[in-house]
Amino acid sequence: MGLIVEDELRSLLDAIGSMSDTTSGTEGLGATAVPDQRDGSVYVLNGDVVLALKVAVITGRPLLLTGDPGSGKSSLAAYVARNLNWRYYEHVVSARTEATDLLWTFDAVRKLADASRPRTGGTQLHDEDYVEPGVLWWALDPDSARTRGAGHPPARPPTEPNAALNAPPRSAQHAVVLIDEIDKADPDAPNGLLVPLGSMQFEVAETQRTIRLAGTEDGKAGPQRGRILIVITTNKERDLPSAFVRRCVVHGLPSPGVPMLVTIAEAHAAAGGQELSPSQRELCTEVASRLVELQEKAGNSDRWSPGTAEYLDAVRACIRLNITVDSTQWSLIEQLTLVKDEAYSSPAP
Amino acid sequence: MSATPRAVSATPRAGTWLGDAAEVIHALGLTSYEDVRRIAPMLGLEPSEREAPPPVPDLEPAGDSAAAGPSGPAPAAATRATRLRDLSALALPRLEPAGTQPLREPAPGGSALPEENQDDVLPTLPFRPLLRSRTAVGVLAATVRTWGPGSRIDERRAVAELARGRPIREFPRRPRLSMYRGVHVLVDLGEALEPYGRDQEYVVDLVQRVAGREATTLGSFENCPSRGVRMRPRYVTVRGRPVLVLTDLGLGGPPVQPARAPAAEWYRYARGAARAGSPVIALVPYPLDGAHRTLIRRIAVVSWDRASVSAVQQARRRAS
Repeated sequence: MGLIVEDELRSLLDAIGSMSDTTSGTEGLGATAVPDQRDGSVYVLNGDVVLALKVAVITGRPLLLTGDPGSGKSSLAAYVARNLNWRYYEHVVSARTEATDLLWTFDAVRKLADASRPRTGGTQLHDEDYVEPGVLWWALDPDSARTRGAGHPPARPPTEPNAALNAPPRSAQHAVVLIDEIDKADPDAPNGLLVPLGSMQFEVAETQRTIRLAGTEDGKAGPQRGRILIVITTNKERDLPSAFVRRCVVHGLPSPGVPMLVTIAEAHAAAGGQELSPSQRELCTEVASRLVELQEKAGNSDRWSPGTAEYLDAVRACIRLNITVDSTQWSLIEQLTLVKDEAYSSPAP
Repeated sequence: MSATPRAVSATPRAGTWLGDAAEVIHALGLTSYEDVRRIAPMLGLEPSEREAPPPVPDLEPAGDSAAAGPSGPAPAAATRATRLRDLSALALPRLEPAGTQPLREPAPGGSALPEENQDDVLPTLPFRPLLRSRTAVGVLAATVRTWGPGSRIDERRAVAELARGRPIREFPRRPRLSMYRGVHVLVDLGEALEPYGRDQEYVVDLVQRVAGREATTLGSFENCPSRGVRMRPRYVTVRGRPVLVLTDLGLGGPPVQPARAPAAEWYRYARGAARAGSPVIALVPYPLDGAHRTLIRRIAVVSWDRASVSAVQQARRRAS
């Protein structure tokens, strides 16, 4: 595998630039619609996001996305992977996530169970057999991940995330990794990722094996870094360490306004092979206006604010139940999908 | 205008990578200053505004806010109001920074003093927090962190249990310091804390940024939390959640203060919190010489203006 040369970079940038807004998928607004499906089948490019992707690829730095809920932070990565035919991995961060969880985990329980089981012929236990590759390992070097870093087929092959999705024609050399909601983790987690993300390599503590971007030498990922696009999202629940932010390309996704929301609904309908009728389009506009109104009302207060997912739920419900914003049932639909539990969302007096 | 790295001449924001900008400009063939302006913020660069007027001093005449009246606060005051939104909802006394309020209250029925003119008012005093800005995040992180089980199995403890022939009912996990329990911040609105209202607001804001807004619960009290806590938005009990109290522990204020909470009352409160698994950490803006020895073994008391990570750790060790 050669370096990312000028021509390859150029064609990659062209591919990013020519990404269309939608492709076919199982989303949609009809009976077979699958909500919240993060397969990258539907996305409406908004603002400077294409430019941000190009900058991230050129610089080989993670793309840190900020923005309100529903602005499309989490769904962008899958969409890019699908459009560029790159492998796709994701890790949703929680308060207990540690940096190494994204690199590897060690199944000590299994090892303990194996150790306490009688073995024949003096079979040795190997630490490699208990190493579980994390998403960054799979992205950097899938061949190594398949052998758990041992270099030979393991007794028990690891489960590859998204194996079916990442099969050819998806590129074996390129990958998109989504690290979702990194602000949920302790500051130690992003700090612990500084070196692996910067050098594109890390060492598995239990086996002392170094995992690096496939085809590169020690600490010399260089221009090949552009083969791995790491998309990190934050809801700004808390500040990220400045050292971490400095190493990212940072882009804020704008909240979709009414026209964009209608376009998103149209895109979802198109993905399901539908076309919105004029009355449905009008419905989408009215629901979008109501959503924006609720968002403005929530403003900077502690009130819960609905986003694009709730908007699509409302539109789907209205279309399927043949309800318009003027009908008497609309207020219930609005309550169920957009406002939700008022008592829950309102701050106590 | 030809676009070169010099065109973004870079007021680097906390250290960035000018080389990245050059690489992007070259790869994308950017030729206009406008294009460079679009990519600059993504890389943490702020294009310098050569035509921009000289920076306005931070000091604002108090007359601005006075002139704006109650219906229209001055921009600075409005920004501050937004920043302090959370605390105002707690019904904290509105302690406006010096200079944004008239220094003299008008006497009933009209002032006997001559009317103020713009030259007589004092400028807003700059705010210098008690916590040093360089270390504030680290200090507050140290107050918020608690030991808890990490995600990794503690093999040594597991092996030790097995070696003793004991069955393992639950795999021990390696302990780690984390903020996953969040933090409960209690703001003392007592008389002794009035001069430190802005510091309290500063700390609350910073704690929310460090621990996360969802993981931070806020409450206010007067003199001692055992006398009642006003919570916002609702009462949340999280076992083990550390309690950060911004208080004087009865050490400050005027000498005669009937409402002052004695050390014994604070001790009882801290003991109750400890029973619920919550350590109590107090940031105190007054000298700690008078602090009761028994109390500092129950509450991790940290001198607010000298707080450092090691001081917090030391106080927490002493109180554990």
